[in-house]
Amino acid sequence: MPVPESGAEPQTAAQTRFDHTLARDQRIEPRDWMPEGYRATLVRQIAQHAHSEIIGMQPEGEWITRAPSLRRKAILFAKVQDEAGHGLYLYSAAETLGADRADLTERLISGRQKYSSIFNYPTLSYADVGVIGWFVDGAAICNQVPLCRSSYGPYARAMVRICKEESFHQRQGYELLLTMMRGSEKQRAQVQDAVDRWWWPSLMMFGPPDGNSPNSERSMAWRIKRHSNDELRQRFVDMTVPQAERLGVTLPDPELVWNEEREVWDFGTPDWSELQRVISGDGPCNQARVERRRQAHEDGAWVREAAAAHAARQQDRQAAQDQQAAQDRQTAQTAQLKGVPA
Amino acid sequence: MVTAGTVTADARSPLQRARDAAASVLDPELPMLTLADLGVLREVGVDADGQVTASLAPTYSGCPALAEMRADLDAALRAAGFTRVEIRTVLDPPWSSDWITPEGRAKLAAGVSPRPDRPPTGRRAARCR
Amino acid sequence: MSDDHVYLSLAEASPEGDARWAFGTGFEDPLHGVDTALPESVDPAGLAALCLALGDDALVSAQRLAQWVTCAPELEEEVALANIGLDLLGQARLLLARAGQAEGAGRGEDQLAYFRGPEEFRNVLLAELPNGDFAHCVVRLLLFSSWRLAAFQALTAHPDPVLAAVAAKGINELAYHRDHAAQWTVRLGDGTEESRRRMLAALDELWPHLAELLDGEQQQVRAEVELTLRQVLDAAGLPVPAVPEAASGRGRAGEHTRTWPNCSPSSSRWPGRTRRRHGDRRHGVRRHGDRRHGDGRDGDRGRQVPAATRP
Repeated sequence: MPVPESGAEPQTAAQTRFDHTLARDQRIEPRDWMPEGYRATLVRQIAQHAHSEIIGMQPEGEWITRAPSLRRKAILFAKVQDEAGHGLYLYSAAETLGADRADLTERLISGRQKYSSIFNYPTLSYADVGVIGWFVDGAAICNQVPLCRSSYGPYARAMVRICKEESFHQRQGYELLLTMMRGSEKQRAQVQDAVDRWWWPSLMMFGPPDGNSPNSERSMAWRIKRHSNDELRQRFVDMTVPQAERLGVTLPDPELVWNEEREVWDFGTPDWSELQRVISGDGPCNQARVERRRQAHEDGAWVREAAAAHAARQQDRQAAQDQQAAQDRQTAQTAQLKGVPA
Repeated sequence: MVTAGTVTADARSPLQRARDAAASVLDPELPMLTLADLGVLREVGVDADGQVTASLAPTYSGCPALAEMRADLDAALRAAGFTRVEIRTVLDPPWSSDWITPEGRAKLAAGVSPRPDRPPTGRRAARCR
Repeated sequence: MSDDHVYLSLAEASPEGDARWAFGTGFEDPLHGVDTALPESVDPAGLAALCLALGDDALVSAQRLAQWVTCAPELEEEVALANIGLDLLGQARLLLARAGQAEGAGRGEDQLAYFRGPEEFRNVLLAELPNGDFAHCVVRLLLFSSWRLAAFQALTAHPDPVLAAVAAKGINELAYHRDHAAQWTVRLGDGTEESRRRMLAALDELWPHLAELLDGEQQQVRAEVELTLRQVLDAAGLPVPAVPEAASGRGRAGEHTRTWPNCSPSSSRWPGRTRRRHGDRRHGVRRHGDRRHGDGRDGDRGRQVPAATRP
């Protein structure tokens, strides 16, 4: 169904083509015409996704030097590196829509653009690393699998790639927890404690309930978003409860109960005021996360400037060389015509 | 040897069956590629007593997926009906991205980056150039 | 392509799934599955000492590189530095495992990494210096990888086949590290006034540590390293300092700085894992489990113990 721009003009041929592409569930590519609202919504969504990958490196990255075994260290190091790669990939996808990466970074640092609320929570033990793999990557995958069929080509393809890598991370996280649950009393307690702290924030990753999600309808009409927040949240719960049972942990929700009729797990209501507070900057780590990103960006300015200066100088040198080479050829040709040695 | 539950007779030799099973195992980190595509599956052999030995070359020293690769390969061979399985790791000669098959390269190239003018962004993609 | 298979496989509670989790099955030893017989001609103590030194260099370097995560000047560099750190960590794991085997006292990679004090570590000081600015990172990487690459090239001829193989494997990685550092050296040396100033400061601080790296190396390795460094610095328009005569650092002898970056997490290391016997444990009251008693569904849901505990 076509979504008219506010103050809509008469339907153009380009708009018609756009609408038909969406209706046939096909892809919009960078070279295609698209409504400004579509483009802007995508830029915001993709940018936020990219920012989340980058900020997400912080809570996990701080545990690399303190991993409890060399194998765990390698796994975590690789995971965090993957996340940087995902961020880069997504920024590139945003650039195909005309966004500028430096500008997006500015928006993140100034707070004008957001990142996933989940990364505003602290990692207090190594069990948190496992639980992040299990819950947060799990939730991200639930969110992202449907986005593999998102209408915008570069975004959909990025989702396919990212999902595959994240499913490996989720597996690694779960495996870490399985190992800890088969370990000492202290390790099991650490896992349960991490579960208790990360469960509700993970449910909140899917955003506010459908009734309170104003942008969702447009995004769904444009097929940028394929399922509602509540639908995805339910999927995540249904997927995770059996995993929790295999692990031997309790999910901290007294209202979690199997609904025989609908064949889903009914669950309690997240504290939406907490989500609101965290989104608006009042979570445990918001300031630290953004500050860290800002610091790295500023500290790196001289490096980026030097790289640019060097590249420019290289270009000039190359241009000068090319010009000289062309002159030399000209001189040689002229000499040849005159029968004179150059 | 036949897995319980296999109904149709398998006309392949045990060696072929082992090779097919091993070659089809997906890379845990880049599941669009098989171990064969990646060039890490070095050798598969079945001895006279029916024991399968498969050799893997780790891609790079820090590869965190080696344990998973070994486990997946082991599981695939057991699912193919072999009860005695040995997975060897071969450090020498060292794996190089030259060993990636043309099919593997094609799969990697698909969706490598939205910006063809920029280098590949992922860890594996960067290694497998 | 069915995207759902990615999603469904996560939800599956397949019993075989657990067989693929790599704990308690010997898959954790990085040399597992490699033919690790020690040749007669190789002196075990000498091999252990050599592998330990090279392993410690890599491990400590990897710790410092891990501290660059989320601090790198641009995202591409986050990926690159993590790549390099992960390579070195992987080399460390293989080398420490080999050292433990040669030593023959039952110590594996983790015992060696987590249960030795600083006085037993054999890394060069260059590896353990605290991180400075990005120029410091680049110069350190340039010196370290140029030397390590040359050393590993020589080691491919070592009589121990495992060390020779680890060296052969490491060469491609180290060539990448050295090239990466070299490219940055040129960009920063030939960039802006500020970047040049910082590079000079980094060279000033770090160059003296080169002596400890080259200490005892064959002439061929020294020559290779000096040539590489000269070429890179020339291309960058940076002066080539004189190679110092004597090593001032004594990291190889176990004398480390106060800021030596320990691997251990601040909380205690994992105690030895105990195996749980099937049916052994109760894990408290599970409210979601309780609610379903008597609903006639899959009896497994009521069990406390995961379906696929493997001894």
